Amino acid sequence: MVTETTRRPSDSGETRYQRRRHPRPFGDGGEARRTPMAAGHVLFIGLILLMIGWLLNAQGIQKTAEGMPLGWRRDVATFLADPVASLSHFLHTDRPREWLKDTLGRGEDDDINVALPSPTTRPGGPAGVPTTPPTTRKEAFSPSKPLTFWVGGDSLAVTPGESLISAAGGTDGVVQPVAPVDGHVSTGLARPEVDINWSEYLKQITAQHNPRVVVFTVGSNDDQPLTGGPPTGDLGNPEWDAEYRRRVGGIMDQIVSEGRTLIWVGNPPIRNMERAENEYKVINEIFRSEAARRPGRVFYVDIYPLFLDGSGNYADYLDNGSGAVVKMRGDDGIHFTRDGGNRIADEIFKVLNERFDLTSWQSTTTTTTTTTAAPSATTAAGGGTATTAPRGAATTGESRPRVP
Amino acid sequence: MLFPTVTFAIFFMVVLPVSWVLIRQPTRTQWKLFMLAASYYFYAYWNPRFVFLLVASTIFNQICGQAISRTAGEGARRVILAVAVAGNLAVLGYFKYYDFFVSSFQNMLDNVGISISPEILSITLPVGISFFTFQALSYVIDIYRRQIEPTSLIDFAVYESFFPHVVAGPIVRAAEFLPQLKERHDPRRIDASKAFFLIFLGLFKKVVLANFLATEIVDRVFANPERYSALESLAAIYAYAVQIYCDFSGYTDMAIGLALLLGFRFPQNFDSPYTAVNLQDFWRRWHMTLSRWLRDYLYIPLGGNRGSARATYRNLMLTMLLGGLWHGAAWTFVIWGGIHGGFLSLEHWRHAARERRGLPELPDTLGRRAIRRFVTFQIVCLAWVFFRSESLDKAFELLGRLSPAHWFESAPELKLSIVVAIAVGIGAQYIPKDTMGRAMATFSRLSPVAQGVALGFALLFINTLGPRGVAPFIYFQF
Repeated sequence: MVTETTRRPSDSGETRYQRRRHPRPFGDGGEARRTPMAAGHVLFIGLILLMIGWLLNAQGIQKTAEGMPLGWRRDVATFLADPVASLSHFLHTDRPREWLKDTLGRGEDDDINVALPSPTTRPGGPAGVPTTPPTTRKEAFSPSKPLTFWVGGDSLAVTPGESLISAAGGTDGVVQPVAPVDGHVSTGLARPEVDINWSEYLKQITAQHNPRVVVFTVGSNDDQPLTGGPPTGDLGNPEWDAEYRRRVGGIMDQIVSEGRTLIWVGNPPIRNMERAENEYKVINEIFRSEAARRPGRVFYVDIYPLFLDGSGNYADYLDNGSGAVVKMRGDDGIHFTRDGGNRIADEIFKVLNERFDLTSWQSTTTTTTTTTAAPSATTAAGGGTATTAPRGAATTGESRPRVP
Repeated sequence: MLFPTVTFAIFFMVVLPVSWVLIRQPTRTQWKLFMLAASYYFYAYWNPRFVFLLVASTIFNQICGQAISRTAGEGARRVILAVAVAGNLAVLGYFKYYDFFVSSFQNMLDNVGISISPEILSITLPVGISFFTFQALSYVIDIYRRQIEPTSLIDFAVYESFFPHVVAGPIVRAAEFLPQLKERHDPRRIDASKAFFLIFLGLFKKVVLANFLATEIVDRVFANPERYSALESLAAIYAYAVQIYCDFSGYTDMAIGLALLLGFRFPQNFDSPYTAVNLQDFWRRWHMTLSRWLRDYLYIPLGGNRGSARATYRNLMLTMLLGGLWHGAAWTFVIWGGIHGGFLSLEHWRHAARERRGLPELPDTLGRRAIRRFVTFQIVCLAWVFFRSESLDKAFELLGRLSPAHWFESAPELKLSIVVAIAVGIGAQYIPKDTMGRAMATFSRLSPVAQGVALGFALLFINTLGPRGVAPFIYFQF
């Protein structure tokens, strides 16, 4: 019995006991009344939600855990995710997700493929891929026989790739992309289990689109221990260097063995210059030297010096070559703005002009002003390195093909 | 730490029970210290150094607020307020606009033959700086206006750093949040069904719709508009309208839902903005907390509509231009603000002209309302073109693609799934509110087990339909 002394009138005239047992519903005015919930029930729902959600999404969560940055958090995540994935498979609770993914045409989203590429070019001499340059005669392209390219890689590939596609639009169809930019955030060659395995993915891409040129950018996420193979330790260990070199060389051979040309874009300096100087430069050197072993087929585009200021420091804003100071780097100090992307696209076009004849189709009667990149841009390191020449060093002063 | 990640889910599953245990303590000091630590940890996940900036902002504004409150003389109060406003804007200007203005100045002088080489600092932008600076400003200004009393340092610190809103809003006023710190929080009375509904609605908007449209059409068309037909360009513009709405309102839905689970109410930030019948109506429905901030702390102090018609237009234009600049240091944002300011002024002028001539309001028929909604949406989309484009050239290039010459080109990028996503994004805004309310009420009456299972399947649906990884929220950069 509720006595008068225990009564504590509220606005609604309810007692404390009544309020505790039947809390007022939510929803004022015309709103439908929502039943309130106790904190314990909220937690209980949260736990059920996590349990059911985890079981139903176990394969995706396992892949996310595998792709986490190396360290104790990843260890804990994989320790928890792996048995739940097995349990989910056993209980068949992973089937709805599989079915949905298959229906969407993305059945391979949750696959973890750590197959690694191996080089066929041997240090001592020729193997599957010749180490001598291809014929010196440039293959000619025209609007009726376009030079096709695919551009992709990690997130640093995106904006320069868009610039490249935009620049290709100014060639009257002589240079044509086979697909939009294919950028995958946080990926690289160090961790084939993160999002996509580039070696395997590039096989699919080249088979699907058959591009004549592949423009590839990875490396900025690769300054970490390598997974998918024997332990390598950190960047700087000889084992790391050998294994990373093997992966880079493997992808290069994989691409060029199909008769394609590979343009490999290196790492830029970033706001964290310590990381750039100590790690990105080491990775770039591997790219450069591996490209040099495949002259005329693999071209390394060294963009590092293009994004330094006069004092050799990282800079967000740089001279665009026309005297104007423009923002070339994103707010994160890593990615590029469109002006930064344009700078890289210019360098890639220099390589394309060096490697291919993109202009002779225009006229056989008039002497065309060629846009072949300056020899200095491509002769270093056995003909496999480009872009260390200053901007605008092309013979015509133009860095993109002029195809009227 | 992004909301739609496993890391955040774990973080929140720890914070939630501890928060409800501690908030029942009579003094709540432990709860405040805990929430402050949790919020700083959440913020430090992006860049630990900027926690010091957040702390410095809190201390500076608290000192200014206290000083204004203790000062009797109106002149002195105004001086302190000026110091507070200048201090906040200086920090915002340094991090957000310094490099932009220095490089613009350098280029301007270069154009007239004067060469200078000022130092460009390549500054990292602290996430959420615009949001927490605006909240701090509202606190100090409200104290100056004697609308609120200064609170304790710890209360103010919790208010400024509260993790559900610290990085991307909604911009909650001190007068809305601080009283809730003193309210009795009943752990038996949580509006959980609304909270879960909002969190999952936000997840769907962000993970499924916004990410899908961004990757399937928006990014590629805005990057290289010259490659696309009129139909694809138009679809990309509409798709961006849906993307930015789903991205930002999805974030705020989640923020409001998370706060509700912790027992706090945030103001509504979006109210079906693409159903607006004019731009004034749009700004009552879009980023509502920013709109009222700009109205109360910029438009009205500038004079609002109290002066001549010309002064009203000037105030509207200034408010919208500065609102544009708030989003970032770029001319594209200025043009975006200019379009809104211009059309708002036009609406005011038209309304005033009808009043002057003694003409009555036109009847609000269904057909007329549909036309007004359509026209308003097209104006908003026109402004979005500038907001999204990397440069003015790109914006005009995209608009140029809408010319008749490109209407008969093929549109291979325009897939049915994109049209459906756009239709869902816009059509969902026409669902009556009471339908949503009834859905929430029905859900709230399910048993906890049934609710958990239903939400688990919703998670399957969202997680499977969405692309891998989580793209950053658009408004994090502002």
